[in-house]
Amino acid sequence: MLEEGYSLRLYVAGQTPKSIAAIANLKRICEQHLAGKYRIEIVDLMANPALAQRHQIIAIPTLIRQLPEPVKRIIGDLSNVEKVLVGLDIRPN
Amino acid sequence: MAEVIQSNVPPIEFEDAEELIHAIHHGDVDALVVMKGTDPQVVTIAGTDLLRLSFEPMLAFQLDGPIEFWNAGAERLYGFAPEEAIGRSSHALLQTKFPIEFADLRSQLQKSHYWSGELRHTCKDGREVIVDSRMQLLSDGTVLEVNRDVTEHKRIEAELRESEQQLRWLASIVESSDEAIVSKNLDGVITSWNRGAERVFGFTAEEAIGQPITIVIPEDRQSEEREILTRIRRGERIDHFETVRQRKHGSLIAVSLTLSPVKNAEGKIVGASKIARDITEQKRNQEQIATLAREAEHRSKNLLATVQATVNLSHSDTSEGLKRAIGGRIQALANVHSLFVDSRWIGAELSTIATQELAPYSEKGKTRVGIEGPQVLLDPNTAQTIAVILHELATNAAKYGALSTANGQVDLKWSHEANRRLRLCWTETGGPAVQEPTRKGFGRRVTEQMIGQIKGKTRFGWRAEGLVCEIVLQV
Repeated sequence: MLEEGYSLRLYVAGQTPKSIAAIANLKRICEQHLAGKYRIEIVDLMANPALAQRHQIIAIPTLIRQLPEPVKRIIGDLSNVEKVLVGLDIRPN
Repeated sequence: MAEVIQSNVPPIEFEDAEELIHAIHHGDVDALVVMKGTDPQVVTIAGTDLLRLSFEPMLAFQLDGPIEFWNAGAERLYGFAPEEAIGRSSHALLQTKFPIEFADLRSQLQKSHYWSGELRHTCKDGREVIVDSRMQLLSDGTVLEVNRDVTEHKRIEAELRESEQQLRWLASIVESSDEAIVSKNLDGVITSWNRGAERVFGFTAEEAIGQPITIVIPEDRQSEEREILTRIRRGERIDHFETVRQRKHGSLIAVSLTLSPVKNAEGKIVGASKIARDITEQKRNQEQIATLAREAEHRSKNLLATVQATVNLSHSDTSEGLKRAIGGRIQALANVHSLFVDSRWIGAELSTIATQELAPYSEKGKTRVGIEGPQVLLDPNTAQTIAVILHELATNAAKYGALSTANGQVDLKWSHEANRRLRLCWTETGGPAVQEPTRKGFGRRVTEQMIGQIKGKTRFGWRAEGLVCEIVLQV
């Protein structure tokens, strides 16, 4: 159903400030730039650290773009919108 | 390196590693996943969590950027959860009211990396709070804002200011009062002394405060103070206690005292406030009124005696005539009494009495009565007698003497003589020819008797051209 859209997974660690900031920033960016064609999945590694392995998460917060391929990763709280847009290939560099 | 269980995901590549190092270096991450044995575990950066949990309201944002950090204290104070606050402009979220232009605050932050001052914020529920705010600009451009809620503190401060204002207002009323308002402790030592007290007692506040209140109590009344203090200790109020107090230089004044116990915040009696009104003047007025009342009584008795004498000496063949004669004499007394009122019972001017009594006999444009003499103030008794006698002489002249004809003339002259004597002379001319009567008429009898009562002498002369009556009085 999201063949054409973005599937994003954000790894956070409970309520750390960067985690909270990353969630808020990601939601805002998606609403502004990908309205209607994205899906966000938030994974709390504090609750389940084992889930870190799937995407080899080392630093938190980390955002993984699962779709469209190829998989991409952005580390940090996503406060730099420009960097996020570039990292997700939403806007040509 | 951790075992990769399922990997359609590439392991960390070179550029990712670089980014990771950058992110850690710039503080973009606050947790790491590490391996403990074979299990991954999350480690958060120490301290961040403490700030997050602190009840001290804290928030952080990039200068001009959205909120990036919002701790439990901020949530508690403003009511916004972190996910509601983060990503929004703090000034928009909290409707911040700045004490200075925001541009100035911003440039101050950039210059000295610090700003502190009072801000007004609006909470989620619409309540406005006042915060004591400290902002710190960190090297990475983050502004860390720590706020302390001072709303309640400010409210209490305002209340205190208001009650202070009221106290000052009361103090100025006390200070400017004309009445002496002083306070003393339970040992009778003066603790306050207003300007009224300075005026009434003559001691300045500086001289009086710290001294025993007995400095204003005369020697023979010192025991009053013990009595007063005993009653004050019992919590009694003393109202309008009239007594005597002593001024700085020893003169005595009559005062009316009102004393009330003064209690401290715990309700314990710690002293007394005393209002002293100087009633010396009032006392003097009361005495004057009493004197005047006695004087009025005395005058009334005299007056009634005069009336009685007038009645006794009056005579007429008909009762109608008797009524007229008595009526005229009483009118003469009434006239002179009006003059006493004007002089507050000191007496009456002789020329005024004469003018009043002889006025009916002066015709328009024709002087038939001449009045001439220096100013003499007669005491009420003498004035009464002279008024009746002038009335008598004039009535007689109008009936039989100079005033009974068209061209007759009366002259009344008086002058001072040695030994405080006054000589009055009544001279009639141009009337019908006069003969000495064979018996004393009623008018003459009244005159001689009444003048005799005030220790004066009368002499009548019956010249052919008219009657002469000389009266000599002590004045």
